[in-house]
Amino acid sequence: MTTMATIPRAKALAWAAMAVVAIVAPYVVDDYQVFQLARLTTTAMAVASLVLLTGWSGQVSAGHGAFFGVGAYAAAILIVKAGLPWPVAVVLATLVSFLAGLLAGLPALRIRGISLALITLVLAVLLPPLVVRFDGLTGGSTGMPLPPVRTPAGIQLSGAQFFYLVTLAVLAAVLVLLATVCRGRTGRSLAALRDQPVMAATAGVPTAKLSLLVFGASGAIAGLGGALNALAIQSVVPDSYTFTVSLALLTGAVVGGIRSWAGALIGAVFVVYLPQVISDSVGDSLASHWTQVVYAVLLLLVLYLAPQGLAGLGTRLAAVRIPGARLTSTTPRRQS
Amino acid sequence: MIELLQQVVNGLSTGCVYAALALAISVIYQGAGILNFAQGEMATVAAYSAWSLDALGWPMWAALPVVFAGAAVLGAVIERLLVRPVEGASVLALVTVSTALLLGINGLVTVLWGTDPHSLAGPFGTKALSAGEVTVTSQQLGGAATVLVVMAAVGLFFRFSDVGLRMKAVSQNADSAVLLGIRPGRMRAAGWALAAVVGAVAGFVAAPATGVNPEMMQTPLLMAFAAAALGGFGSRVGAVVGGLALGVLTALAARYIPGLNGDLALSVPFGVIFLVLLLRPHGLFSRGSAVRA
Repeated sequence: MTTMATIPRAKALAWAAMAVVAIVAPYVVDDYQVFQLARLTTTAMAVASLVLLTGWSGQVSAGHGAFFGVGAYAAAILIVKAGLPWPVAVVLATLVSFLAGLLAGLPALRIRGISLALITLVLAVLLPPLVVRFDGLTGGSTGMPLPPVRTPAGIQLSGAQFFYLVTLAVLAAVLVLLATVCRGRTGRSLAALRDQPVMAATAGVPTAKLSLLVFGASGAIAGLGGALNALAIQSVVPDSYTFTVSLALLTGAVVGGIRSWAGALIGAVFVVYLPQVISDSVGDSLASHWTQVVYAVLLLLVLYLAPQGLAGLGTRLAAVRIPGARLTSTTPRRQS
Repeated sequence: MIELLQQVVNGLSTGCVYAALALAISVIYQGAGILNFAQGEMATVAAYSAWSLDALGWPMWAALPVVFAGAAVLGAVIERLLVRPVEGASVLALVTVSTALLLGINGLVTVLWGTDPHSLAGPFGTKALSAGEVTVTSQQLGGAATVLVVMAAVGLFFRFSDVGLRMKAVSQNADSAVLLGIRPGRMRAAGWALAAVVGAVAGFVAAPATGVNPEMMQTPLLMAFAAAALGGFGSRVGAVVGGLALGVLTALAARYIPGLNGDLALSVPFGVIFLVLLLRPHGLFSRGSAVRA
């Protein structure tokens, strides 16, 4: 038994180390880097929401940027137009995104698979023109600026540091919640829904309700990430929510590991930092297009060589390195 | 009334492009159950190739066969190298490949040809012909005729040609087809090649109106998906009828429903996809499949 516990223990250690780094980081690096870290934590929520929806329940969304954008715009409108304090706006924006998720999940009751991915993709393509259309509310194609989040009196932190720590806490809460829910009965129901929907129904899993709820929950988490992301970058513009963002999120989730919470973090690192790295090496003008090409190559490589993503690859390597350690139930079953 | 008629004619003309692209999508879907998100990008590559050859001074009649042959090779190579490994794998794997193709080809087109829009004159000229008070350009007529000929050819190909029948056999029951000595892999590669050519025709017909640029096929692609959903992804006739119907529907909606013009015209295909998949998931022209536990 001692050897079998090695991998969970190594995992726990890795998570603890990551938490320490994440908490110490804002005191070490400059405010611009802290701002980037806030983009990372908020993007990670969107990728995690995709892990829940696609990895766990098997419903592929190629348009999750739409929920990210809905959350961002809902929060921005509530803050700028309605004058609400930002925490209230974020909570309401999460609620709005939940409803948007439910709505987008309706077709999932009738169709699964690749046609569902198509619907979500169209949803993502449609968001920017819709936003521009209702320019009275959204600021049109130039978007609108958001006021910076101020550090509450009595806390000795810069605005960027404070807000990053807020997003970190929210991300931690989201990940713990998701991991806990997916570990228990709900997780098994989701796996059944994913692998054998008909069998799941016969075994008493409320498949319709579950499909819809998981869509709503996933939309809510992506929207929460989007709302906090908008507050971090202090603006919303339609160009930040094009369908390529959705494809980037899907890329992040697949490359990180579609059924792994750690994978969501790895995926978010790719989504946030890869465009930066590429822009530094090929210049700004073609950066976004080279980024697309690199995403494509990464996607194909991961798909062919490491279907469980980089997180899965890490676990596998660890299992090889630690003699006697065995993998427990992390191997995904492939649908035929 | 005249204006309505004119809108219908314009709609049918753009609908031809959607129909050709939808036909390409449906041919690939029948082969391997994959929705090719990159069908539009492959057509864009064809349009850019035609533009490049044109810029090099090639006459149109010499450039087109090269472009179509190139499209066929590109389609077959993509299937052989990139799609084959995930054949029969999970939906996520199929979507992932499709997404990678969309991102990759779109990125490469811009890296290779840049973002500057170009114009490509069609081979049919721009003479305006009028019947009564309805005006049609010779490009619209020629484009529609081209698309119709291609569709008829594809229809005849699947109905009468040996390869076409083998491809149908593979899409209906790959295991039995193997027992008859058919190689499903080759047939699927042939399907991708055929679809790429049909898509290239769509790009070529669309180019004079849209111009040649990296985003030229984005709207047509969504329209084509909506068309394929409307007709049923597995139905070639359905895809074509759906494409023409969507062309007309979009033209009428843009004209008569206030606020639905420009980019928002996209909400028409979205509405169509949403409603069709919700109410009749297998489309208007194909039968649904029963699921057994």
